[in-house]
Amino acid sequence: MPLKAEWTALVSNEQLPVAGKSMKVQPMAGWNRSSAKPSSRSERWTRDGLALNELTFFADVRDGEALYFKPLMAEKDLPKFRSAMLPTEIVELFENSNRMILASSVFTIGKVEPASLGNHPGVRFSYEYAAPDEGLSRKGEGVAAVVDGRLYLVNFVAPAIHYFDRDISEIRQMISTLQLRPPKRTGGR
Amino acid sequence: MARVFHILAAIAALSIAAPLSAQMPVATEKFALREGFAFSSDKPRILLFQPEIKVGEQTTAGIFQNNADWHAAASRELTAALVRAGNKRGFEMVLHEDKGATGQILIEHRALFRLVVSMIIRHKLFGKDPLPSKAAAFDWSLGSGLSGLASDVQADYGLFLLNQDSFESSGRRAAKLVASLMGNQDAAGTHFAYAALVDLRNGDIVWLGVDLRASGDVRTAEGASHRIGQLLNGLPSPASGQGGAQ
Repeated sequence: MPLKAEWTALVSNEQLPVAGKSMKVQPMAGWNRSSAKPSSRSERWTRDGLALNELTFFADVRDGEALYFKPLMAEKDLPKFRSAMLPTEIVELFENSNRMILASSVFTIGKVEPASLGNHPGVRFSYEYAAPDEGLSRKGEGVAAVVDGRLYLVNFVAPAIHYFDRDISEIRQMISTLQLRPPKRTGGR
Repeated sequence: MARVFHILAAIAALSIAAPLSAQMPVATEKFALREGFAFSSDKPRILLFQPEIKVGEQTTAGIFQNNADWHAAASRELTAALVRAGNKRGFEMVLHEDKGATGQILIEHRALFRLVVSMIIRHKLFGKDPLPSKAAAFDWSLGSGLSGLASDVQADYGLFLLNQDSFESSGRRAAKLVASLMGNQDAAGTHFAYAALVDLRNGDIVWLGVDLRASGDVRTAEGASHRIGQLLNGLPSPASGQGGAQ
C-alpha cells in the first residue's frame, strides 16, 4: 500500500469503471479518485477533500467479506456481509461497520426506503453522526443492492453544514447513471 | 486538542510526503486568494471573530500545558494587532459580539472552518497531496450560514484567526540540550497560525494565509504585531489588485 494517496482527476460525463469492472458510473465535473482504497472491493472519490465530501463505491463484495479493511487498533473484527442479508440487515451492516471505523457511538440511521441501484432493487438510507473531537455533524446517504449474492453500495457523506446539501442532488443524479454488470457466478464463493 | 487535530494531521501529512533525501527548504508560509476576487467597496467592513488561541508550555515530556495568563495576553495582543493591521490596510474593523442565538451557528462554522482549512493546507497550499481538480482553483466555501451575523452589523466580510503556540519549558530545553549532545534533533515548540477572510454573503473563503512555523512572541504587543504582519502578507488592500496561491 502506498504511503500516501495519489489523486486522479476524473473525466466528467463519461461512463467510468469504478471499484473493479462490474460497476460503471458517469462522474460530474470536479471529482478526484484516490489510490488509497478503504477495502479491496471499493474506491473513494472527493471534490474538496475527503473530510468535506466523500463518495465511496463498493462493488462485488462477497459473502463473508467486510466492507472495510480492519483498522490497525481494532480489537474486534468488522462485521461480515452475508449473501442472504435483507435490505434492513445491509443497513445494519453499514451502520455497525462505520461505528467501528469511526470509533463513534453517535451514529443515527434516518430514513430507510426501497430504491434501485443500476436497475436492481435495493435500499436507500440516510444517516447522521458526529465524529469525536471535530465539533460538527455529518450527514450521509447510501444506496445498496444485492445482486447474485454480491453487495453493491454507494455512500456519500459530508458535513451537515453546507457541503451535504450542496452536493446531494448531484450525487443522486450521478448514482442514477450507475450501471451494474455483475460477473457470472461460477458456483464457488 | 480537538480543534487542532486536522491541522496537525495536515502538517504530519506534509512531513510524510517529503522524501528524506529532499533536503531543500520547505515553504512553511503561504497564502491563497480566490481567483477574480475584488473587494465590494472602497472601505469594506470586516467582522473580526474572536480569535481561537491556544498558548501554553511544552513540558519535558513534550505534553502541551495550557497557560491562562499567556492565553489572556495573546488573545488581547493578537486581537489588537489584527484591528491595527486591518485599519492600516483600509478596512473598517468591527469586533464580533457573541449574542446567544448566533453562538451555536458560529461554533459550528468555526468547526467547519477548521476542517476546510485543513483540507486546503493538505490539498492545495503546500502542494504535497494535491487534488488535480483544484490545481487551478481556490474555491472552498463555508456556505451562506454566516450571512445572518453579517446583516446584524452590516459587515461585508468575516475574518477568522486560529493561532497556537507552545513554548518550551526550562526542563524541556535542558532535556533537549542533553539529547542534542547525543545527536538527537527535536523541534523547538509549535508555533502556527492561519487567518482567512470570508465573504459573509455566501461563505466563500476569498483569502487564506497560513504560517506553519510562525515567529513573534504573541504574548507581547510587538510580537503579536510581527505575527499578524507576516500572516496577513498576501491579503490585498481594498485598492490593490488580485493574486493567487503562493
